[in-house]
Amino acid sequence: MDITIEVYAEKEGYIRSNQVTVTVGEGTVQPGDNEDVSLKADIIPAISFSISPGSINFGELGPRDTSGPFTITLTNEGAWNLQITSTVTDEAEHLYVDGLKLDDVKWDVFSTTILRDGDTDCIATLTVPETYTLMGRQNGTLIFWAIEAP
Amino acid sequence: MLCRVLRLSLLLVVLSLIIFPSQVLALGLGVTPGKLDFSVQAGGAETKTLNVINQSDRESPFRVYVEGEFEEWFLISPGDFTLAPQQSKDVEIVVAPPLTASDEHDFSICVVSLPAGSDLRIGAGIKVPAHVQILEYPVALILGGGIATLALVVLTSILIRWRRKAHNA
Repeated sequence: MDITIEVYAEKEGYIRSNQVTVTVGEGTVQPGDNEDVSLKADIIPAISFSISPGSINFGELGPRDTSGPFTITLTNEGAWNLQITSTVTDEAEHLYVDGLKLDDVKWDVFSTTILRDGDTDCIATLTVPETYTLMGRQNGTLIFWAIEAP
Repeated sequence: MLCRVLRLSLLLVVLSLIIFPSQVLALGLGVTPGKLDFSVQAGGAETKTLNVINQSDRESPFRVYVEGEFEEWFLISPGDFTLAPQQSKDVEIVVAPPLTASDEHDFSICVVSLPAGSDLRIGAGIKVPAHVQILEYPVALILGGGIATLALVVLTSILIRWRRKAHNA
């Protein structure tokens, strides 16, 4: 049903100085007093990050050799800015503990900050000591630790 | 010929994914809340929950432990578990300082995921700061309890003496 409503005000001694046009559309459905309003929110963890890849094979190396650069990508997937540090252990006569560098510094002084929704590449290299005695595949672990950035 | 090369390349990519899965898959984890505050009386206990989520694209093992001077105050359950991709778990963190404990102390709740593998394995860990405040027992309550106990002892002894006198008489 179409209706026209005229709305105006009058006062003695005054004249109408302006006119406002009001258009009435179809409108939207408003929830009634007893109707539920749907609320949605996608909550992400406070601290969350991912690392790719899951392991590194530096290839064939001998004493005095330094491996080629190996890129590790760290991605912040949480709500807070992160500070990333690292720890290294091995059972390979300190091959990784002594020889692993991240972004051209030894792993124990490596530190980087990743802002929310950000990511960063970290370059890993391995130098085999001149006096290293073991041969064959050598295993170790590199753990990246995340804390809230100061 | 080009088709054969393309087919061979595709086969090599698939084979490399099968043979070296850990080198291409991502490892990830998340925790919430990002910090824990405990307020507990010496001799008491308080429990908080830490939610851990596996954000890797593979099943991964997790370990939760505490670093700090008095880490023996903590009980973590479960401390070791495995989660499927995108699966999460509530971990109970109980702190129970002894009666001799006092002051405030800072700890780190460490959550680490280190999938099995060889060469240089890469793991992901998160350190959640935990602050423990040891609440003092209210002095008035301690004094009140002591006075009440003393009064009870005195009254009991008076009552016993009075009954003995009455019995002897």
